[in-house]
Amino acid sequence: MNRLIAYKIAQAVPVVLLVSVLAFLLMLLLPGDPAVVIAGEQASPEAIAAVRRSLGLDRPVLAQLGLWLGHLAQGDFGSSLVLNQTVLSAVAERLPVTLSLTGLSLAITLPVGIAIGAIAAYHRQTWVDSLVMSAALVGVSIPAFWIAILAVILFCVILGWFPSSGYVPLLQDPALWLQSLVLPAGILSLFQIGFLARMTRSAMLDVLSQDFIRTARAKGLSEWVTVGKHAFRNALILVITATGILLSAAIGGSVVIEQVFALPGIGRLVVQAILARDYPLVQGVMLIYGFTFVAINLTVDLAYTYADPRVRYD
Amino acid sequence: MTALVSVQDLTVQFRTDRGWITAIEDVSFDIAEGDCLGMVGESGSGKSVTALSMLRLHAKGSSRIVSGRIVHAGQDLLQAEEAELRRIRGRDIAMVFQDPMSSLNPVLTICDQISETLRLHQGLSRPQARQRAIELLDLVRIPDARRRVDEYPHRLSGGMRQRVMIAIAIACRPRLLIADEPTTALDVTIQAQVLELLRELRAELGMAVLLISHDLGVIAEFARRVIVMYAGRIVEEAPVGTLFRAPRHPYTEGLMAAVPALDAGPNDEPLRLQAIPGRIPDPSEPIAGCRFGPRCRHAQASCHAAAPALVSIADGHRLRCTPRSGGSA
Amino acid sequence: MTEAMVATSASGTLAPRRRFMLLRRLATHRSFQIGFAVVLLLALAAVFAPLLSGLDPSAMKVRARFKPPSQAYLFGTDMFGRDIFTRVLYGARVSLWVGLVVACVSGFLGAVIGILAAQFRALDALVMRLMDALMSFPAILLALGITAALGPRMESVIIALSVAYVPAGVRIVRASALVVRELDYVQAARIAGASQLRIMLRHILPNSVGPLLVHMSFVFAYSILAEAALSFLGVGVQPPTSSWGNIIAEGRDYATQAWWVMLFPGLGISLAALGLNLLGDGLRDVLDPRLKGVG
Repeated sequence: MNRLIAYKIAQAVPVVLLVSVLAFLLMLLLPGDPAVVIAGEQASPEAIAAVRRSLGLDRPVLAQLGLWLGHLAQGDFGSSLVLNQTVLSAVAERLPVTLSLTGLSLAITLPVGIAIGAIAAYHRQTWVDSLVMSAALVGVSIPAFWIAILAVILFCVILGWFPSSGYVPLLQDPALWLQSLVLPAGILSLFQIGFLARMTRSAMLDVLSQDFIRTARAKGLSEWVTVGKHAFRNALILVITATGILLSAAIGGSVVIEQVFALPGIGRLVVQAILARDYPLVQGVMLIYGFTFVAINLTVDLAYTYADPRVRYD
Repeated sequence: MTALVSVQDLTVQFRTDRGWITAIEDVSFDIAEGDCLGMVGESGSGKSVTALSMLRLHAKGSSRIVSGRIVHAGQDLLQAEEAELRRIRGRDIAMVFQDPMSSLNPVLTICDQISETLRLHQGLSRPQARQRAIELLDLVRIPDARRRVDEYPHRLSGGMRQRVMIAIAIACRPRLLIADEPTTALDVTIQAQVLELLRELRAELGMAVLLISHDLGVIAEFARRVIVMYAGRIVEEAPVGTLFRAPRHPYTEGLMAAVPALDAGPNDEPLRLQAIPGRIPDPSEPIAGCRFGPRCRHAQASCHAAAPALVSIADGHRLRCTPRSGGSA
Repeated sequence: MTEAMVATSASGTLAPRRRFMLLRRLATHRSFQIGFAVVLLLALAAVFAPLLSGLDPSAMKVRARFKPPSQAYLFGTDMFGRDIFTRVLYGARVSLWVGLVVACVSGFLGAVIGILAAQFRALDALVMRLMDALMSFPAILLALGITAALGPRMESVIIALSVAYVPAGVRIVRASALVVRELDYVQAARIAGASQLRIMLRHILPNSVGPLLVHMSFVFAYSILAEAALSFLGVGVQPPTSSWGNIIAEGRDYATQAWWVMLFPGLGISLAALGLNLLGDGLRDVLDPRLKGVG
């Protein structure tokens, strides 16, 4: 089994490499000349050429790739053109915000989504099921940013329950921290709950129709044990996969939510960087995102081998 | 003397796209203590439906029991409370299903799945249950039980999984074991082993066995008494010898004749396979008379007009056929 | 090159009667009916936008600023006096068009790559690694990165979203193709000497397409939502071209004064996504589970 784990980790390495190469390619696609951007439009051709040489842009593409990968290996993800810091430090500063937001939303999404999905599956084809599924469908169809804005208008401007923007660090004031995050995290999870409920429902339905559920009942086990132990343990496998997807989706969704609620997170950083044409920052952040997602997938994959004994010996 | 389980006038319906259809109708039979009953019929004849009804294992929304009683230890199982039913399942009446791979939970160990029953019905502690589980695996002749008990179902072969299912079923020494096509999904050699095992366990534990199969060979090998089902009804019930040597119902006759013979005809020519003409009726289409009528060689006008009743024609021999049981044309 | 009778007669395409039955089941499926009706309505509104509203979406009339919905201005006007109804109709053109193109392109590429990957094992390993790398990104972020590289425009959004949704399509088609290629009649065709291309086109493709079609309707829905989000952020369709997303962005600052600017495009997005999700659900109920075992 340990060999399997090592194998899976080893498999992630080429993916990481691939992601790095893709991020590098991103830079190649960029319109305009980074050297000109740095040196300034008014600079003389010699100055521009000098900048280009210092950036290594006059070398062949493969050499540039090598240079790029070398920098990465040393932990150098590039520096921002607009902000006066390295990509890594810019991200590190904003990491707590995004972590708080996605963490909180996941903490809401997981129990609620699973519970709703399980209930809908158990009461399939009754009004409970239809209601839940309709709600989930609506949740998946409405644009998050739109609802977010409407929510801000309702809860912040009209009702004044929550601050409409800004973030308070947890260590500074836990109560205010929560208050500043409840609405954004709530909106973020609203859309994910729908997805998770649907996934859990179909996973549970699939499992509940399996023969071993009948065997469990034939043994005289109560419904609670049958569903809670036998059915759920199997549906868990799919739920684990779903959680991985949810986490990635939450990170993606945080981009828009942070923008609407003006939370100084990584998502907001990347959008501002794009609008300001701060390409090294965009590229660096994308790369960090990439590594994060590979790590998430790897973790889910490993969790999978713990949950499903059938996968372990392959 | 009172039967262990007495099924009386059982009628079960299923919900389909086309409405409620009757799966089994007026099914009545008794199982005595230590009985060895076989139930045979084609796919769709209602054998499994009957078996599942005995423990009320049907899906709640899509099936309903229209009428009938299933009497065990003085109470009607069909009317019993859920809690009471759960006490009986696995403890007094146990069941073994057809496909051992899908009938065992893939993410739980063998030990866990056997121990569950023991801890539930006999209140054993975890270590006690584990020990007993190992003993049970030995009883069903699984080699290396001590190691095997901690494995997952997918690591075992089909025959071994079925033995595990049997171990789970007999764990609490049930009075009745219902085996629904236990050998159908197995190779022939393994089939023989599992049947042998069932026979031995029956003798050792003194339990009654209801063996359901579409395979006449299996029934002939194992059962003492046989019930033949067709299109949701019992058409004949007889001791196994009588049924195979002198069947009275045209359908049973047809079944026996359809078994390929190894010997040749009178002039040494190979014998043709005798098939029963026609097909089993669509359960959603009601038939006024005998359900086998349309396919029966001996059918008379009265057969199509009214459905014959199941009558006793000899000791232990019941028949549902007007012309054959002496009814007039 | 001859083929055995067995292989040619048991072709991958469904017999006409089967196909008819499927279409009939589809037509009577409630989710599908509602979804189809909604989508059709929106599509017609988009196509016939000039007829439905004689106004120019970018025509500014300062004196008509911030007018609430009325008979003259069905959805009201914005801060430049532009008629919101017209803008929403023209915005529908952009949003629906982007969604449609993305669904088709990603579906097509997904099918091609998926079938090739299932046929040629050497290609498979490389392709799936690449797809895994791409799939680890949520679509929004991937699209964000690509539009950043290509410059914020509608075309960039289309390319970016297509790239983002291709991997899922590849996975679906590849999974179906892997199953289909092991089916008996495909093996028979192979033994009879049918060329790889013929097997792929005539047998594998028609049978792998069902789940893909279902997936494509969902991609259509996601693309509409994604494009709206991107345009809202300012990295997608740029003004003055109206897309539902950037109308909302423009209306955000005046949300309390002129709520109608934000409301209607949002409703449009929701309606379109809802309709497409229902369509997809209907397609899935009819096509997907049935087709899995079909030979």
